Amino acid sequence: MSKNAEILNLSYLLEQEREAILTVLKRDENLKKIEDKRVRKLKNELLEIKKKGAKISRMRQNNSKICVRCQKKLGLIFDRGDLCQACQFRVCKTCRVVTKEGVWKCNVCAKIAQIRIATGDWFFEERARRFKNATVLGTEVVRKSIMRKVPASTRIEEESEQIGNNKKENASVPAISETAQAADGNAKRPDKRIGKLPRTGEDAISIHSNHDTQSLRSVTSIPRSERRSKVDIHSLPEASQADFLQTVRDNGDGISQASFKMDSRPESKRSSPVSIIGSVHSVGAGSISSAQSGIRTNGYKTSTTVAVHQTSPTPSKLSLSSNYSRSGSIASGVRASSSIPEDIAKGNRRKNSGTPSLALSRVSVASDRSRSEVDLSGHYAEGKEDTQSIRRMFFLQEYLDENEEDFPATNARKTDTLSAYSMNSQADRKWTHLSVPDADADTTSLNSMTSVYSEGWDFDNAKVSGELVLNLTYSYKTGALNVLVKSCRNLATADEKKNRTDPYVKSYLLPDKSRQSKRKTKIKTNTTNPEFNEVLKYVISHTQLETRTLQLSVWHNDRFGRNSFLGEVNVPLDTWNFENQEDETFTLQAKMDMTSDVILQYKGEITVGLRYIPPEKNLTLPLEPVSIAKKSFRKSKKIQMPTGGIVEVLIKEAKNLTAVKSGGNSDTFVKGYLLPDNNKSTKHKTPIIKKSVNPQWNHTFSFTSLEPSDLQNISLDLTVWDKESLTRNVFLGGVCLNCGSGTSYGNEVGWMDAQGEEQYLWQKMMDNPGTSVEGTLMLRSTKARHKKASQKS
Amino acid sequence: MTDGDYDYLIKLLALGDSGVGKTTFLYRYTDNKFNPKFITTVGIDFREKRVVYNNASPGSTHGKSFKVHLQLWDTAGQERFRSLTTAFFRDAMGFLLMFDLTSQQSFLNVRNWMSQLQANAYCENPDIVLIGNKADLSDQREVNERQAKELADKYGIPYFETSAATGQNVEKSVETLLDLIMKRMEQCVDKTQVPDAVNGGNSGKLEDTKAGERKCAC
Repeated sequence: MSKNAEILNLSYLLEQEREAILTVLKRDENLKKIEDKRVRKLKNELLEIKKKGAKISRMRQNNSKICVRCQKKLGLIFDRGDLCQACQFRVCKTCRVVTKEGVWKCNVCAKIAQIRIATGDWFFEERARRFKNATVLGTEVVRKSIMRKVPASTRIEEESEQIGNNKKENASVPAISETAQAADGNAKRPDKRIGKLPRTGEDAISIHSNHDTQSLRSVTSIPRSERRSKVDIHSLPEASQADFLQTVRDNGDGISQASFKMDSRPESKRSSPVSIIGSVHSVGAGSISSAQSGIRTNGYKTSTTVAVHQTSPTPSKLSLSSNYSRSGSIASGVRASSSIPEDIAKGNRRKNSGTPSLALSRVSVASDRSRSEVDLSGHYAEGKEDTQSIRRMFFLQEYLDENEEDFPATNARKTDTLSAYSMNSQADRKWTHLSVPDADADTTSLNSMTSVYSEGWDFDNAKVSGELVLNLTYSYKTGALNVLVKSCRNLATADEKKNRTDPYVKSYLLPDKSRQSKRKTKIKTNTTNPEFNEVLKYVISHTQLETRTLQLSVWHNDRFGRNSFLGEVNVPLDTWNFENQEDETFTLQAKMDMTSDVILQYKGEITVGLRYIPPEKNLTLPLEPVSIAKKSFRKSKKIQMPTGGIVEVLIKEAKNLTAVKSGGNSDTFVKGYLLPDNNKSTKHKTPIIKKSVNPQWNHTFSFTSLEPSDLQNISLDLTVWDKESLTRNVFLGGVCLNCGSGTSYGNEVGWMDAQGEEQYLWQKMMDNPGTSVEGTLMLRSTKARHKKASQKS
Repeated sequence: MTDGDYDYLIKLLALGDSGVGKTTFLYRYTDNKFNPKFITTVGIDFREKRVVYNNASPGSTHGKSFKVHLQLWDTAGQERFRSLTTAFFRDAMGFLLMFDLTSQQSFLNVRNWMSQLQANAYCENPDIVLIGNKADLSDQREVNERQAKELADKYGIPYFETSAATGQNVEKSVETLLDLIMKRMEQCVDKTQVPDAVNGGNSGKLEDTKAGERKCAC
């Protein structure tokens, strides 16, 4: 988005004129709020409809004698059904809506059209056609232009950066672009408030170690390279062993194994750049833990002993080796909450007395996240791409975060990471100890999702009583939601033995459950009527706020044991009246099941174009010179098999993506690959479009060597991500394009589950070789199918 | 406070020279009142009105009625606010282009406003109605109806002579614009739905699709 050009010079406005205009804009904002809410509802409705339209479309229109809409059997002579002009499916008489004289559409298409009118999409589409990059509302431009003039002293160079934002925010801006300054940026960060987006450094080192790892980090870069060589020693034999350990996996996997073996060697020879490559794994506890589980399951005693002697960066090394050594079956087994292979299950139970159930229930989340992690690792992940093990690692990471909540920043946590590590790697391998190094000093847990996801943890026996007094305000000047946590009254006593309650309040701005969205108050000691009077601040545009729910939970901080849950409050902000300046008292509630509404949610939409070029046509295409192609790993694949058809995927644009960064933005990119494809050789990514929730990529992915028959058996997986420099990338939604048959090359697979529009589009592409077909698809809010995908593969 | 209980949000925008009566016109339309005082609009303002739209016209979607929430943007006619007001053009779905029947100059400026619109609106030929306001001041009239009608015909847009003072044609002109927009919405959707749901140049293009293409050639 060319926002630079979009700032108007409104310096001629007088002060009172500015005020007057801002008042008008605020009124408009209110109206927009209502409108957005209405549109969201409609879009969800649309999503439902498309879902319903999904099953039906499995049947192809012409040969089936069934109405695709109501499944009614069509007659041979009477009520034979007819093709809907819009979707070309055969529908019976009752499933039609007559729009004009003699012109009808099937009820689904009619409803879709209706919704597109009602949402105003028709207008935005028309406008987008005219102004290619002006997706911003005029009101928004004016608002920004006016706001820009206000603090004349603090001129902000970044146009789209909201003027009202803190200077802290700005401080981090230059660091974003300059990777080299990552360390500098990090140095600044601890001064900042907790929960600020740690967006420093593109390929930043140690993505997870948000704790005071400065020293650690500075050490990291060079020493790691030495260690790397050791890693390599481990990894090679282990990798080969992994091959044996592996249970049945597809052929492709063998390749992946081989490829990472090859890859790891050159890496080990590199010097400092390696630190970046390996950086993802300096997740401290996360990697250690996975290393340990590797040890546990595979019995690599050698690794353990190494851990004892190494300093903190080492775990990254360990994690590598353990990742290699882990067999696919173990990784996927743990991820599948239902079916746990015996060995691993045993392993877990043995070590985590009584808690495996929790860990398992949360796996899906972990796996979602882990994928983004892979991105961060860039080349590293590309080469080895044993996502399962990586995922597994993150599963553990999540698990640890979980524990972090229970063992918050007590002094014990601040223990030197070194000693903590060595402690871990010694005999005592209780999970709880593992969590220690991961705990940040500022208690901003890395990805503590406890309050959101861990149902059945210690909520079961949670005593909930009392209320929470809040004052919510939204400042248009600073573009921030200020949550003034005033006090709690009549909290339950958390520790009855000691008759003690040390409460604190934690908040998330749902649906963002990441660390960025987490805020905490200070801990008040020994009171059931704490007075906090603390402001938890979220910088977020007002319109984005409409899509959010503020979740506040009260916790008892136990220095030595688990934190206990004392109740929570969920405040949907779309209906919140910010005009009301008075304090609001909320009764604390027991844990609510959030999962249901998290799953079906409007996440925006993506417009893609598909084209299948069959092999015979492909032959006429000039082959790329090998020298050029060799430069990239993916392209070299193309050269290996220059024959075969090509699927071209044009990633055009997306709309209404979730904003995860402050200022109501996201830095988005799309990742795409074909399933089944275990080594991810088909993975493609678009460039990142910064600061836009309506990005236009216009980027084409080409997938090669595809015979027409393959199209029935493969699935195109497209996911939209927000790029984060220091944390995991945030998943914004995805689509799955395939023929929806549920089977791939004769195997039953969970990921051949395209629905409705997704499936239409794929089918359309198959039916029209050589022509490009375009469609706008609703983004799915979950990636649940990937679990299945990797499990089966 | 408005609620979300409506089917469509339609954004209209009134434009024209300073003093032609945009604010009073909208005030008449939304509140059915007349304010003879001239208070210059500071940059931008808007009014809202909830109306029920009956799709009675033949050919369009079965005679259903819709609740329409109108957001009527009122722009400052003064030159100094120009850069600000044109920024709002792109958000509007339809335009009330107004001039003062008692001011030849304001009528001459209609051409300029038209080109402003063509440059800044969401598409090159948005829905517009031309409105000659202050029809009640017949003794001061400087623009005759024929002249104005000819201009409107040239642009292919409807023309109305209105009076915010008496209320003459005020509702009618807005409703006409609304009608145009409602038709366009359907055409746009019909037009895009065919290639959208099933791309690849299928046969069965509909008649209205062609109409839509003619209309929104943007």
